Amino acid sequence: MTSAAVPLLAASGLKFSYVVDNPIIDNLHVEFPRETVTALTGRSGTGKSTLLYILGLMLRASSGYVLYDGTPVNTLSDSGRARLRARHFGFVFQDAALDPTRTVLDNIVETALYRGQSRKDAITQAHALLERFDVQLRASHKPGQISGGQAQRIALCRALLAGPAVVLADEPTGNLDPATAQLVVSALRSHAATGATVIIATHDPNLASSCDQHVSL
Amino acid sequence: MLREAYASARSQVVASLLTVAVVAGMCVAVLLTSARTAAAQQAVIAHIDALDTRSIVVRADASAGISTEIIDQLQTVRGIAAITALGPPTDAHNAGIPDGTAVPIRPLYGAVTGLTDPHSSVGPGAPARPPTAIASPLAALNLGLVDGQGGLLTEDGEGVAVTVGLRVPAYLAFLEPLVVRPVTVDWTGDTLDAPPVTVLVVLATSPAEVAVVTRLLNGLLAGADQSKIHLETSAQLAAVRAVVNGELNTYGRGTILGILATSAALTSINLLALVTMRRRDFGRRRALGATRMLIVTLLLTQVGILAVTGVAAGITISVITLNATGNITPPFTFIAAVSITAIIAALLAALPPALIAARRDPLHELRVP
Repeated sequence: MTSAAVPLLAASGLKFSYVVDNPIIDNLHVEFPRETVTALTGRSGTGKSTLLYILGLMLRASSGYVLYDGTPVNTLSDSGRARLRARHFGFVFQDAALDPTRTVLDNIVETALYRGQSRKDAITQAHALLERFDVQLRASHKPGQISGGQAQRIALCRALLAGPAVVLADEPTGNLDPATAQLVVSALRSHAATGATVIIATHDPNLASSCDQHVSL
Repeated sequence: MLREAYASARSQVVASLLTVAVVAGMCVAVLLTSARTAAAQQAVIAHIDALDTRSIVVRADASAGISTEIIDQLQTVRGIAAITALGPPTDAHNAGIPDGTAVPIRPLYGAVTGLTDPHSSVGPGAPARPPTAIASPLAALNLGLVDGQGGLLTEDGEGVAVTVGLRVPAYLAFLEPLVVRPVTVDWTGDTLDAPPVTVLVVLATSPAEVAVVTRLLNGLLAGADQSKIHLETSAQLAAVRAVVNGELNTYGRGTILGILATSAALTSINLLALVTMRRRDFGRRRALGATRMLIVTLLLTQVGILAVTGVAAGITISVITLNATGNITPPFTFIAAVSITAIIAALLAALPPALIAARRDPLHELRVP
């Protein structure tokens, strides 16, 4: 099933509604090939984040399929979807979503536990990512001791740990200065170049225009 | 998992300390309560036992037909701790004091089981060979035997050497003042020649055995003249003892269960509050790929670590307190049972909050309003 012709992630006939008979996503067909950065754009409330969470298997579509490497995965059991998320998906949430009681390093390596990765390996990778995003001096700090921009970079480190095949980012540059935003975007682009697919929900037209693919909702 | 659970416990200081304190309090309350209950129970039972709950006493005329044969028959019976058989008494007084107080001398048939066995019941000062008669200290006082030995003169005019040193157990105290003449029965099975028994005291191994041994003894005495036999048992006292013991056990168990249930409820409430406060944390974990089972395992491991810490603290405090106050320290098996029960109670109490945490909707917790 794994071949260049099969998109890494795809949505087929996807439908979702918060209110009955008023679907926010209706019969959506979209493909997210490897080595591609896709921008999800649209006005607020058009379902960008919702689609991101459906693709990330955190939310179940009313109908239709999410296909990972050609296989429907949204019909898997809860534990099956959780394992897939842990092993192949990376998330950058709108507000970083770090655990305020744990150190930056602990926050980054937390996902190693969920995917069964050795903590030692995860720490080595985390230090490399921290250095890459210029926040290595914050490893032992708590999230309350760092800035919003730094928190977003830490969230990116967590998402990229262990090199996930799919990275889903919800407004990843929303809290960042232009230089840091550029750093984040280029990091996501570099990650896509390794064979992954990156999907970014954004309001930023500049960011959207720099992406390989554009899905407007 | 252990590291993550430990780290989670450390990051939630207040909730963790509260859980440790509740579990430690549970152990302290159970151990101190049970120790005091056990001490009170022991005291009450000891008082009842002092009233002689295990003995069966048969008094008979010499002509009733009870012979030393019954000793051999009883020695094969299970549930009997001691048998004492005495023959008809003969009054005697100190040969050196013609007007002295008379005390009955009774033949003690042996070898019999029990503390009055002449080879086991004589004091350390007694000669290796049994003397003609042995007197208890009370009998010696009545007889005026000041040197620990002397001579007695029976009402039949017979002279009997006597030494002092008979230790009379509590269940034979009713026979005091007691002077016995150990007699080795050389009986070959001829009932007519077997010496008569006028007092037979059978001590059951436990109060619960009294009724069974009494029935058996009645069976053995069936051939004797029932009009010349009087049998006294402590069956009623044994029944009272069983009821009191049972009531105290029930009270102790009820108290312990109450403490465990209260502590488990407190642990559960504490963890429910923790889960509610940290719902976003569990939602984030779920979003990042933690399965529900992993969340449950993580919380239970966390509570397990805290419960073990609480148990260790609670037992240490309890043992120190019990030693300091001079109370009975419960046996190791009881402490181990309390420890395991406390940990299980804490884990069971943590299960509902853990299941609630595992069902947190990641999207609901993570989306910014």
